[in-house]
Amino acid sequence: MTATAAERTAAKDRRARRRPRFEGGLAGGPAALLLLLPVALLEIAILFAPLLYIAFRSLYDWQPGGDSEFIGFDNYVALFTDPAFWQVVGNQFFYLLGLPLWVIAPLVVAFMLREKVAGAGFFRSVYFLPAVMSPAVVALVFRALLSGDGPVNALLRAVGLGSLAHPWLSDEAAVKPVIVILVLWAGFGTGVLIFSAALSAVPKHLFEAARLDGVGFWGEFWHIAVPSIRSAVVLWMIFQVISIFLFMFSWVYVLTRGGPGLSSATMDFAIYQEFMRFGFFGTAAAQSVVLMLFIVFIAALGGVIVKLLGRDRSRGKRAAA
Amino acid sequence: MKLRRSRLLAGLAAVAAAALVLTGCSGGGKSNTLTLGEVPKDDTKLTVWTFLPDNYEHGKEAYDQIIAAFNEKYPQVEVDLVTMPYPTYFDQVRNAGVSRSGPDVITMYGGAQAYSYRNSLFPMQDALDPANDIRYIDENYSRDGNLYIVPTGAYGYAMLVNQDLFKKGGVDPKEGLATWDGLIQTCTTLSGKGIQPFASGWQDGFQLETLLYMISSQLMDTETLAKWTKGELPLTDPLFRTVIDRVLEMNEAGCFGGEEALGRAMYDDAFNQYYAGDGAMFLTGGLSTAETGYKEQPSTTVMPMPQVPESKHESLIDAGAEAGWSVTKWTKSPEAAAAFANFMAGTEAQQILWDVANVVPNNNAVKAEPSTPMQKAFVPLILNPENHTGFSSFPLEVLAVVERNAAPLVSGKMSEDEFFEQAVRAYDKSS
Repeated sequence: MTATAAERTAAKDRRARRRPRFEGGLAGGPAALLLLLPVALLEIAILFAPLLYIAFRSLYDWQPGGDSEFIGFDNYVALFTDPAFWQVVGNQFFYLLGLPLWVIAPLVVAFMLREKVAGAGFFRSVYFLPAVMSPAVVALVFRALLSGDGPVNALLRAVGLGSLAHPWLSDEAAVKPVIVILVLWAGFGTGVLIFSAALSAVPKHLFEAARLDGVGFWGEFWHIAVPSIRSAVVLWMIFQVISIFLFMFSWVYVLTRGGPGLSSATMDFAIYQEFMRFGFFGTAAAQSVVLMLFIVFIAALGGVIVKLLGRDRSRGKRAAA
Repeated sequence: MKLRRSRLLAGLAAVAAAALVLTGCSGGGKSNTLTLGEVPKDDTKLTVWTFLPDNYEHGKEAYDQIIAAFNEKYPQVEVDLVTMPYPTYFDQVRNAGVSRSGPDVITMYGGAQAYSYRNSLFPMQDALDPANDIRYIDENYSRDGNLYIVPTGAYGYAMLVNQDLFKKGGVDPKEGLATWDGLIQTCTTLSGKGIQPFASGWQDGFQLETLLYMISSQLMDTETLAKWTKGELPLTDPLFRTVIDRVLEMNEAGCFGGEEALGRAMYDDAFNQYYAGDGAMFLTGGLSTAETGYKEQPSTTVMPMPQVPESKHESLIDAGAEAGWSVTKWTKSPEAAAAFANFMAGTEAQQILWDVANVVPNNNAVKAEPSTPMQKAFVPLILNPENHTGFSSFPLEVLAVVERNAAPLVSGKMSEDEFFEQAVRAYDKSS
């Protein structure tokens, strides 16, 4: 059971090889830290200091330019006891129902474009086009398209589907699903691009072998493509979820102003209203902190999922070996 | 261990330093009072932010003349007038307030709106030029007892009436619109003949706000208005219920047309609807809108909305200052800034605005002789001494509830109780 001399030497070599990397870091520590310092300071100044400041301010009846009284958690109590806040949070989670659509639709199209489709590059470019357009401009266009007497309803009426014509953006029941579809439209191209890149790294022989075994399109999709790029899928999911919490403002602001009522308002829009329109700086700060915590929680959850999936895969590989 | 402790200490020191910095940033600006002082002889520059010139056809021309006249009086003061679009104007002002930098003078509404920006504005009550005999001062005080604007100009909410459509509907407007019951009957008659009584757009709620101002002013006597201005009249007062009841009564009588107006159209659309001859009446506060209405529909006249049965007045219309001018707390030239705000309320500026841009003055010394048909019909209504307004005392939070719930309320999707529950909650939050 004793190690051979060769094994001992090899182990020593491994340790030796490992040590310089570690010790080198320490040895070069002060210099390296000095070099990193500007970046670290910038990071703190740009990212963490404002966050800390907002968290600090959320404990005050914040009156920029006036006397700000410390009120503890009163802003949070006011927020959590306000039914309007919960309606907005509810809207936010309703939008999350669009997640499967936002993930599966670009994934399927990316999978289809992986095949030898004529003009695949052209299609990718066309799909990507909305991603480079300003959401404010796009939202204005959609507001015109979806207005009561706009082209969408006119088209529906022209083809005999007048009963489907709808006040799309001013109907409480319709407005959120419409926004879900618009977000799909806006993010679709980016999703296709990311999934195409991920799929291009999957060995082709896997699909060829499956085809030889008689596996169909959906079989290849679910059993080979999706598992092979699951990290990209999870990444895209997390990105979409964060987008729903952080990047909906321009859509909501231009399309609906949060209405009708509050039925399409998002947290970022509500924060804007509290801060800019009403001057309730303290509650806006509290709401910002809550939003940040939501996002941190979701990002952490995504990280755990990625880790679990990675563990499953390595287990699967070990089992196969 | 030593290392860990020193790191811990360093960490604590950093947190303490951050806390100190944050505490230092807490701001402690006191509400200084501005008094009327002599403008220094040194050269100075004023930055003035406003959205008003864009409101009128010849707005830019009028403001150029006003600045030239101001410079004749104060040659040492250079005025940089920045005209901004209204939809983003107050966002810009808010940003300036938070960063404590930007304009020296701004256009602002009084009362509740100014109160929301109170940490950025000097109280003006001690800086008003006594030479200016101006109206609408009392109702522009904010609930903290300060006047943050020098009110200028005058508006009055009245009805544009398309007499051709009334004729088509077989209704004599003078008779039909003399009383509240007559108005309700007129709506029923006109809509029965396929004529939309009021050009309407409810989606953004501005139409409900307009009616809220028009009817609540009728329901407030001088004492009640004073209480409302001071923030002592709660939104649970029955008079506000009466306003909404009367609006719903109008709706039931078909005053506002069908679903198109209730759910889909914006108030802006209603202007175009009237101009196109698709609505027999339109609620407006501005003379320039009346002039456009007259240009597009030459049978247009202006009439007051009849008093609701609960009105405390004979012939009041909701009327008040068109807007006002405020001095920011960070200005380096408070005397020059106050001089500009007062100049805007003075006879010279108000005369220019009347002559060039059709803005009704609130300075009693200005001679506003009506010459056009719309001026002849509208100006006497605006200058009625019985008029007042509670408009400026509606907190912004309440207006937000009114705006977002207008269409659901009028279309029956939201109950009156629920509407008031939300409005009262917003009112409580604002106080």
